[in-house]
Amino acid sequence: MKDLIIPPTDESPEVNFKTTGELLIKGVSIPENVSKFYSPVSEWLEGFKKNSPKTATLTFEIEYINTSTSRAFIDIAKKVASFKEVGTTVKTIWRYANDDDDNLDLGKDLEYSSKTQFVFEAI
Amino acid sequence: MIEDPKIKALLNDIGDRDKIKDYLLVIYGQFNQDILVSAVKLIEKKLILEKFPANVITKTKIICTEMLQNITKHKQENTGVLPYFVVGTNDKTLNILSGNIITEASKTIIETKLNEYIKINKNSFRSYYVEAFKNSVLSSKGNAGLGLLEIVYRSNQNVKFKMQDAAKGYFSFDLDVIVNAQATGS
Repeated sequence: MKDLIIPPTDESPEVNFKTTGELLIKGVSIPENVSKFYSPVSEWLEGFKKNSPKTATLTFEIEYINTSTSRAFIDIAKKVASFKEVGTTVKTIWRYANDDDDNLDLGKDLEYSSKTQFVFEAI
Repeated sequence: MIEDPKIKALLNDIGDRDKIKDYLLVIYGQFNQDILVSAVKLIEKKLILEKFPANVITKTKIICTEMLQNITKHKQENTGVLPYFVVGTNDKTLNILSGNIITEASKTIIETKLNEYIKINKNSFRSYYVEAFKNSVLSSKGNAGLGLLEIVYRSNQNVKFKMQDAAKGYFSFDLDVIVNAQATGS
């Protein structure tokens, strides 16, 4: 299995998913067709789960997103949390600028909606 | 100097309506995804230049994205009426305004959703919002009013709207969203 690397654009984030279990989504996410953009991300995670990785750390470092992306992030957070079923130690991190309460709230809302646990890191 | 009479009338109307002192961004005409992306980047740069707090900038970018997506999705080019998107300020607020033409079917849905969201008790709005996302499904066809919910939620329900007959079967939809420019939390 290869790493999944998608470079950032003006409307979509950097995706840097490594087979070592470091999973980063960073930047802006407002693509016109969110399903199309996140479909390979979701497929990669399904394949990765089959490898029963020891650890998986999902990190969101987001500037801003649209509502369809919120929905996609909920699915991704749930999918990564489900790795526990195969014995993986899972962690989800939400990074936000120290002075940006709205970004922190965005992360908290996604944590509640996905029914998973996030660790919040101010940068 | 603005010479186009339609734009002049529009800005006069908006200026009177929301007591706008400074215009940060005015777009009138065709909208698409490229314009949406550029507009949000431009408004971010303007807000940084004007030294708005980071949380206000994030909130504004999210609201602008949803409003611009609504315009892009619901555009009705055959009516000949062009949409607008304006961001302005007065002393204490950021005012984000849009106007576009919608079908009668969209009018019913938008009106129902907005009236529902505006009336939700402020204390229970957050749980309503997260439940709505929890129960939603990602679809390429639309997000069943979640965009409108996002706008109302992020603006702390500071939303006004107006719908008027525009042509047979079509309505103009003017949406005014106010963001507290000095806010430190949502």
